[in-house]
Amino acid sequence: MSGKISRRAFLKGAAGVAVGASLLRPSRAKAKVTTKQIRYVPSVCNFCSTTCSIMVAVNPKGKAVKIEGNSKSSLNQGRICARGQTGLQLLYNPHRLKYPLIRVEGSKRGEWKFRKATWDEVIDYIIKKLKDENIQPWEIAMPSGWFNCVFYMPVSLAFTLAYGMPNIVASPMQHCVGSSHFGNDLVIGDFNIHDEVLADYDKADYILAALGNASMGGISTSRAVRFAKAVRRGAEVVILDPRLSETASRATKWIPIKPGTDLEFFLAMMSEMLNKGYYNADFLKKHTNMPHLVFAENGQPVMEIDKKRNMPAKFYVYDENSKKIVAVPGYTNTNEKDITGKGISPALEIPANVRFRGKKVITVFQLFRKQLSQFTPEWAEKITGVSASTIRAVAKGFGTAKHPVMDPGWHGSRYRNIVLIRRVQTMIQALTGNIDKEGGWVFSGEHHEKVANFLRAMQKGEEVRPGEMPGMLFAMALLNLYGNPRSWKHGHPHFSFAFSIVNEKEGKPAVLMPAFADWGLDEAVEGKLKWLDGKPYQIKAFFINGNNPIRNFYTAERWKKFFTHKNVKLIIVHDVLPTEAAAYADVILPSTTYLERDEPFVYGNGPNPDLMKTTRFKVVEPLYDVKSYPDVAMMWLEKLNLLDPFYEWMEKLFGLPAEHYKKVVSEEVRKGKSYNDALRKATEMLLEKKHPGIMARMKKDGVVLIEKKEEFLKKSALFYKLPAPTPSGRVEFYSYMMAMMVQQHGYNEFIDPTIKYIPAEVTGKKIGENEFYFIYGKTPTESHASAATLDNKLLSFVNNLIDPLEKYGLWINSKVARKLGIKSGDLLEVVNTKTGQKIHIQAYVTEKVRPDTVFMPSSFGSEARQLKVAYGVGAPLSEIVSYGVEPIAAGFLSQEFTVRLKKL
Amino acid sequence: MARYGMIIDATTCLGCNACTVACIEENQTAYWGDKVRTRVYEKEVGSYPDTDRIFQTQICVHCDDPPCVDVCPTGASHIGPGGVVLVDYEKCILCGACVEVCPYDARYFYTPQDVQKAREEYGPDNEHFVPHVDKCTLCIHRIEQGLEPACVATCVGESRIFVDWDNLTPEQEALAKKAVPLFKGSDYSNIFRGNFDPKPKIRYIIDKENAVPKKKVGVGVWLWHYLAKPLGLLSIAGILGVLGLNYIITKPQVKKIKEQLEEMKSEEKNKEE
Repeated sequence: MSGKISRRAFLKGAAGVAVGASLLRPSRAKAKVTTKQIRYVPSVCNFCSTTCSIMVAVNPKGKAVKIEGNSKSSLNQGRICARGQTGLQLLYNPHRLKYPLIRVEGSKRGEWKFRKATWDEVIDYIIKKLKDENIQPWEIAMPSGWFNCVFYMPVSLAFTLAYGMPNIVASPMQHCVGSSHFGNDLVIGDFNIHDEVLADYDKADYILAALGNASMGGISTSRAVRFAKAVRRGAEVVILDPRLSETASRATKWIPIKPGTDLEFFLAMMSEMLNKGYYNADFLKKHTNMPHLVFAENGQPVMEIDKKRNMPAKFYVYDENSKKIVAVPGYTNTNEKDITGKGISPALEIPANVRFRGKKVITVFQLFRKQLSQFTPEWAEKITGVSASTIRAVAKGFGTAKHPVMDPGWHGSRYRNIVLIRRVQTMIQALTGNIDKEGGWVFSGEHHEKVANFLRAMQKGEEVRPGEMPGMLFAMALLNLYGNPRSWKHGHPHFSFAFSIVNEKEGKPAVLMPAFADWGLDEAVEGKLKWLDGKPYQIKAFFINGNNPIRNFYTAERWKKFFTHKNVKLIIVHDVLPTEAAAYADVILPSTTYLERDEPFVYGNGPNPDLMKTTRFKVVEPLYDVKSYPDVAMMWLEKLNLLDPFYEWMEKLFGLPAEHYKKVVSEEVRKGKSYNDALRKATEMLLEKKHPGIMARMKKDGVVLIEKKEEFLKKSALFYKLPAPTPSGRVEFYSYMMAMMVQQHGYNEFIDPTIKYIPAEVTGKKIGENEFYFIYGKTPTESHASAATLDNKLLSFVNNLIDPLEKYGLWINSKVARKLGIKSGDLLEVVNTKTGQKIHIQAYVTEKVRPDTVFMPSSFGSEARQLKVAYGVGAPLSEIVSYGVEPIAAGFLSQEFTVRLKKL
Repeated sequence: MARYGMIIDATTCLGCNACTVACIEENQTAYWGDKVRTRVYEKEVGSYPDTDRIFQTQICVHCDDPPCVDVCPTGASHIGPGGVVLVDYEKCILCGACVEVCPYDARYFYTPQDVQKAREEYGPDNEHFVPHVDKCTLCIHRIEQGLEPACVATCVGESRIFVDWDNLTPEQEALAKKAVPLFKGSDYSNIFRGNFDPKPKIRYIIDKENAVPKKKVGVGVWLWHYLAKPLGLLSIAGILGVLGLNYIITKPQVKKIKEQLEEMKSEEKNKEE
């Protein structure tokens, strides 16, 4: 030890002689000392809808210098992913939209010829153009980004309703919330799996996931932190994915299933679980509709309906104690008592000759077991390529685990049977009883709060406002507003619903619940959608709000066609970065980033099972002449004298007192405050009256804890203790919601309330030589096609650091590549065999993907010339995926095609 | 006395590189030149369907017996509080001996050009006000405030665990039993017949083969291992001789940038006044 020290001492001495005096020594202390003067401002990450809580470090000069996860929030537990870490790259991105712009007269859309303007000028320009071109409110479509829902819901709804503009085209609906989530929602009554369910992956001992990388390895931090804990603890992790994703690489078993055959796997798995008794019989009897009786001849439920409230009044079960059929209440969480309150023991299986009103009846459980019996593991093996023994092993492992967790799933409409896939996955989770329970699927604190408030109000006979309804009830209330012609003075519902209504009348295929979709937009733009009044229902203007439909929707060509169509008279873009869509604007309204604003409302902490309240606090003053969405919406309404109805709708929908908001906002605006800040002030005043000091606490900690998950689960676990927002309050294997849809629209197999097998379109398709299944997915460094992650030097650095081809290229199996003479880096032409759409992309030859499949990372291929970092990197998904929607919620058929490759 | 370090559990690393970005943002590293203090590489092993993805975390392992400190002619590289290996920017002459000798590829040059760029990127107050050799400090400035290193604090897979080896919690104790020093059983120990052990304070839990990056054994490592370490004095002249060249090349640039900096500072001062 001493020898070393002396050697070092000597080295120091030697250095002194050699170089000592020759170097300048700036006599200043180390820069890091300044960390003591750093202050932290809490906010909410905006890079994906996990909505992680963050703390932003600001230096004494007011510059934001670092983003940290907020450890006070149990959602992301102090951590944030690479995307969230780079928020400052967005804030300080030199390519930002810095001031309002008006397209130069005589130029063409897409050419990027703009002149600088003032805010007054652009708002006047919009109002004048609307008037000159006689554009009615329903003739404007608003393609809208996810955060306009999550953070601005009251503004979005009140703005569109006050204005009479039903046409919100919301970016995550057809991609996931409307379609794939709807499958989960039908069974357990929530609305949006992103916000309302967070699985306890960390306590799970068996995790099973399919259809994508997004929720865990992809990364959603709240899920990934929990998932990693399970991996460390040695949980069994089984991932179905045709490619070896980040998530799959952490699995104990990666099953490279044939693309499009997930449904077959899960049907066989569920069948096996029912056959072998891998289910929680006690839970099924008490808290699901498995013991409810159906007629044996047609599978129709034995039930009575309260016609006035259009809700189930009674169901019937077979009581094992009295050996009799008894009625149970229509809306409740449990079948343990009959309608008179007498304790009963409902049977899952009943004797063969039990009859009701002369007809033979069986239980839902028996019906499902019979229906599923044809889906044996051997049957599934032939279709999925997964051996029957593996399917049996997964069924057993999952069904007998103590805390099994099926990943509820993120993103990915993908196939026409997606609603059914997600429905069956949820049923499999429910078979284990592991819902709203420690170590299972747990509902968010906010969902619990809303359910409890709703039930309380119901008991008291009070009215519940649409915006305060929980889960599916909220979704249904919204659809009834936006999809119903009678909700609008002008008689025009959302154009997708209009298109469905007209199609249904004419006997053409219709989508039943095209919630905030783009379905029918082609017809509406081209003037081919004839409305009930005999006049064309036309879309003549776009207000593109925090969204880039050319990349977020399918197909790019289709949206460019809309934006250059002669019928489209006005395009307004409100965004942070100059995206592809912004290039087509007539007017650009530059937006604040999430770090430059206080937000008008206080909201829940995403899917956090603990009930925490949070909001955004302004980290830095806006860097440029930019405004927030509420400013734009309210300046617009002000010009049309429509602010009063705006406040009224906020009250009608969300209980935000109109008089109070009107008074405070007009006072504040008179003082020179922005609408956004004025709304915030009004909200703070209300909150402070109710909970003094709450805003100060929130500003310090970022989140305020109201109630812990453990308390909820003890007192008000859904299904176990309280009914959920399904029609029956129970877990619904037999879907009463779908039964209602059948009643309303007539039967089709997609809305069969039991299980009707529908293979994906690509399943069973003969794959020719040099033909491949096409799959896409998410990587940890990119949000879906978001310019914020694409035009980002740090994320771009990380992508290049690992392997640019892996991150931007088309994954092709090495054996096949060898046969085709393709090497990594070769430029390929990829052709969609359904439509002939083509892209050029470099090959990434790998062992990480099935030989019959190619995989493409989902986010790249920007052609926005103003985005110097993003421009020209990789290829765009929206140019190879063909347009098509499934028939329930217009979910995108984003993997229902095959491709051919050609080396260039 | 604390002995700070990390356990890196490669089995839970998700390969997301949140750590890499957190470190860049926290420490203003020269990422534009592909120079960072830590990163996660990825490697594909096996053939379909028995394929695996290996995530390899690279970072300074903060040796108790660090070769870089041994060869530093000015004492710029030193062992700081908690056993953390640090570089004193103002003493560093960019001779590069430490860069060459580090078996972990954990050091890089923050060149005059990088200093210039850092000024544009992070502002005139940036941390890297002079050219120097840069490396992981284990975020000692954060540790001193009771925070974890930036990479650890944000690690989504909780793959990086900050520890004080002299004061492990029971939970860390269990993990520590599974953790091994980098390069154990790999090329280095073979070449040096098992003699090579600079006693790193960052150790890895690896359940998959090759979960740590390898570096080719460079001249510097040989020099250090066979000359500097056993012979002490004798080798110093040689190493300085080889590497002095580097210093001569960079010296004028270093001088220039420092002058520019002083100029800028005084300009700013004038403005304020």
